Amino acid sequence: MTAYITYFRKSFKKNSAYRTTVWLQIVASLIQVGIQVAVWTALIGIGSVDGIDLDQMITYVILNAAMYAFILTSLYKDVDERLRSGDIAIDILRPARYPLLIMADSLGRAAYRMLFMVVPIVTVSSFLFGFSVPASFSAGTGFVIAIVLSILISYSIGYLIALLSFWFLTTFHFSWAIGALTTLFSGSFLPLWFFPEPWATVAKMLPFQFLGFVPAAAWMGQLTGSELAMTFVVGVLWSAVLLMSTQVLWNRATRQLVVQGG
Amino acid sequence: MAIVEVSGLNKEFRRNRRYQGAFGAVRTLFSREYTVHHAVQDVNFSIEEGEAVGYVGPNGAGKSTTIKMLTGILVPTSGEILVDGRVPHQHRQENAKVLGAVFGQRSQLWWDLPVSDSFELHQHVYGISDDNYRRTLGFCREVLQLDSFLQAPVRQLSLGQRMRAEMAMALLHEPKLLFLDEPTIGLDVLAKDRIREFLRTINRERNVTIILTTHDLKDIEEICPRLIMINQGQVMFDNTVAHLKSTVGDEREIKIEFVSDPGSIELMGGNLVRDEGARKTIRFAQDHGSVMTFLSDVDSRYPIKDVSIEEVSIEDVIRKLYIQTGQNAPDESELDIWSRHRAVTR
Amino acid sequence: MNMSLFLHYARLRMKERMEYRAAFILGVFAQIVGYGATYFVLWLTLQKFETIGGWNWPEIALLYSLNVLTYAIGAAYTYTPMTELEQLVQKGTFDPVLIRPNNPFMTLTAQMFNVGYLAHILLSGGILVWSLSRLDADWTFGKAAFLMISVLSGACMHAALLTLIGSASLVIVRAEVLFRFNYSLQEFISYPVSIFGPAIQILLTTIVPLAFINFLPLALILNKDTGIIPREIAWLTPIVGPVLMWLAYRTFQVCTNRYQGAGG
Repeated sequence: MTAYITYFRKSFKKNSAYRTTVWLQIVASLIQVGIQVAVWTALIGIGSVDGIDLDQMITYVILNAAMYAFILTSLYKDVDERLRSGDIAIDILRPARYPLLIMADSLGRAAYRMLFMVVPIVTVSSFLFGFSVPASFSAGTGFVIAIVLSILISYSIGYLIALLSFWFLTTFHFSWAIGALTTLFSGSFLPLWFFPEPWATVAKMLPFQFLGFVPAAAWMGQLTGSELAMTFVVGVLWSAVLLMSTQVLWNRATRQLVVQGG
Repeated sequence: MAIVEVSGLNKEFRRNRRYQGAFGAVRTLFSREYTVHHAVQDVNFSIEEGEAVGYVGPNGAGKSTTIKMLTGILVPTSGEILVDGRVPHQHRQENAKVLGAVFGQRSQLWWDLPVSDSFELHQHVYGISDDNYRRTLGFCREVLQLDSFLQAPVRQLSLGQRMRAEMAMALLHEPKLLFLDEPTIGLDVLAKDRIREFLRTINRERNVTIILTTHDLKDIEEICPRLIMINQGQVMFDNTVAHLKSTVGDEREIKIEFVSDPGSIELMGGNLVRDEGARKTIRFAQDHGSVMTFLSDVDSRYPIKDVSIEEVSIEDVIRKLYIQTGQNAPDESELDIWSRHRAVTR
Repeated sequence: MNMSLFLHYARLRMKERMEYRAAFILGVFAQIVGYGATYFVLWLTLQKFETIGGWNWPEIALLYSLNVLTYAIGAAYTYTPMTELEQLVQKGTFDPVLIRPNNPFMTLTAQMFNVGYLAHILLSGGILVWSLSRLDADWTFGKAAFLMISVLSGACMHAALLTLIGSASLVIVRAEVLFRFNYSLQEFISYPVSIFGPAIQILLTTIVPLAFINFLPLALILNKDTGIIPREIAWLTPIVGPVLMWLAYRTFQVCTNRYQGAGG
C-alpha cells in the first residue's frame, strides 16, 4: 500500500513542476466555459427548453469543465512511452502491481488538477456566470458515486489504449477514435437530455456518458431515483467489462514481454 | 587563390538568463542578464583551393562553431571570413551552391525512401542540369560503389553504406569546398578505408577542397596533409602533419626485454614509461641522438634479449597537445528527425 | 523555392507515408471519425435548436468547415516544423536547412510538409461543398471568387499563428502551452462570432483576428448579422491573412537570426 501512496505523492509533486503553465491552462478552460455559456445563451436565451433554463445549463457547463480533473483517459500517453522505450520491463519487476501504480500515478495528477485547476476554474466561473450547489443531499451522493465510476471508466479506457499500442506500436488511431466517441457520447457539450432519438438511447447504453453527462446530471438532480439507479448499473457493468479487458490484455502483454526477454 | 580566408575571427555566445515562475517567460524576454562564453577567439587561417585540411580539437574546443561560421549558419561576433570571395552569412544561398556538407551524425537522406529519391530531390533543390547530374552521379556510383543499394530505403542501409550515400549527395552539385563533420564516426575499419580513399580521390583528382573535423586522427593522417588544431577557441597548431611529428613528437617508443631484471637503470636521454622488471618501455626523443647508439649503449651495460621500436602515433602527439580537456565520446546520433515526426497531426 | 520544388517535396512525403500505407489510411480514417464526431454533435444540437445565433445547420456546417479546411491547409506545412522548431535548433537539425540554396523558411516548411492533413481536407472540403449546395446565396462570380480567396487567406492566418508560436519557442521557455492555448481560442470561431459579448467581438477582429478566418467572409456572403462589427470590415479578409503571414515570417527571421547570432 505504501508503494501506491508514494506513487500518488510523487505524481502530485511531478505535476507541481508544471506550475508555470497552469495559469495559462486555467485561462484556456475559462475561455472554454465562456464560449459555451455564450452558445447556450444564444440557444436558450430567456425561458427554458424541455424544462432546462440557462442557469441550469451554466451549471452543467461548469461541472463539465471540472471533469477535467477526473477523466484519466490521457494516461495512455505515459504508458505508451514506457511500453515503446522498453522501460515497462522495469515496471513489471517492481513488487507492486503495475496497473495499480498507474492508477496511483493518475490519481496524483487528478488531485493536483482538482486543487490547482478545478477549484480556481469553478470559483472564477461561478463568480462570473453563477453556479448552483447540488440539488439535494441525495443528488450530492449520486454525484460522488458517479465520479467514482468516471474515474474507473476513464482509467480503464486510457489504459486499454496504452495496452493496444503494445501490439499496434502506436496509440494515434485509437486515441483519435476514442476521442471521437467521447466527443459524441459523453454529453460534455450537448447534454443527453437534448439528444434526439435514437441517439439518446444509444448514448445511455455506452460508458462515455460517465465522462461528462452523468456526474453533472446527478449533481443537478436531473437524474434521480430508478433512472439514476439504472444508470449506475450500466456504469458498474461497463467498469467491470473494461477493467477485465485491461487485465486480460495486460496478462498477454507481460507474457509476451517475458518471452521476448524485455 | 585562397578559397577560405579567416582573420581575427571571434564568436561569443551570450546565454540569457531564463526565469522560472509565472511570468518567467515574459521576464526572460526582457532580461538583460547573460553570461558570455568565448567559443572562438582570434582565429586566423587561410586555405588554398585544392587543399585538404584536418580541423581537430577536443569537444567544445570551437571546431563546429568555426565550421558553422564558415558555412554561414552562424554569424561571427567579430573578424572576417571570406569563402570563395563572399561573406558566408550574407550570401548563404549563393555560397550553398559552392559548398557541400556532410554531418556524420545528422543524416540528410530521407529515412524511409530509396537513396535515389533523396538524390533526385537534391538535383531539384540545387538546380543541377540533367547532364551534370548524370555525370557526377555516374562518378560517385563508380567510386563509392553505390549501385547495390541505390534503390534501397535508407533505413535498410548499413552505417557505412549510408555514409557513402551522404558523401555522394554532398557532391552532386559539384561543390568546390566540402565540409565533413566526423565522417567516419562509428564505422568499421573497412568502411572507414573506403571513405578515406574516396575523399583522397576527389581531393586529388577533382581538386575539391576538403575541411574535415574528426576525432579519429587516422582520418587526418590518410587524407589531410595539413592540420589545424584548436583548443579553447584558439588555434594551437597550423602546419603539416609531418611538421607536427618532427617538432612536437618525434619520439620512439622502445620496448626492451632484458636477459635479466637490471633493476633501476640509467637511461641516457630516455624516459621510462612502463617498468615490468625485465621488460621496460622507454620513450626516446630523436634529437637526443640515434636510437641505435642509445640501444647499443644500454646493451653494453645490461644485456638485451629482444627489442621492438615503434613510432609514436599522431594520436599520442596530439593528446600531448591538448591534455587540458578530455576527449569524450560524441553525442548520440540523431537520425532523421524529419521523418520521425511525420505521423503527428492535430 | 518555386512551386515545382515544393511539390517535389510534398510528393516525396506522400511516397514516404505510403511505405506504411495501412497505418496511413487508418490514420486518415481515425481523424475523419474524430472530426466527424464534432460535426455530429453540432448536427445533433441543431436538430434540437434549429439555429445558433441565426445560423442554421448547413450554415454552421459551412462555418465550421471553413475553419477546419483553412487550418488543415495552413497546418500541413507549418504544424510539424513549428512544433518541432525548438528541438530542431537545439539538436542542430536546423543547420542543414540553412545551407540549402533556398529560403530557410520555405525549405523547412517544404521539408516537413505533413500529408497527414489529408483527412481534415477530405472531410471539411466535402462538407463545405455539401453545405454550399444546400444554401441559396445567389451565387455570383464575385462571391465565389471571394470565398476562394478567403480560403487562402484563412490558411495564411492559421499558418501565421503556428509560425508565431513556433518562433516564440526559440525565445521563451515552455512555449508549447501556447500551442494548446491557440486551440482553445479556435473554439471561438466554431460558432458565429455575433453570439459573443462586444469585447470578445472586438478582440476577435483586432488583436486575435480569428473572425476573418470564417465568420466575417461568410457573414458577408450569406448576408448575416455581424454584431457590433461593421460588416464592411469583412472586405479586408483577403489582406488580413497575407499581412499576418508576413508578420509571422519576419518574426521567424528575427528569432532564427537570434540563434545565428546576427546583431548580438
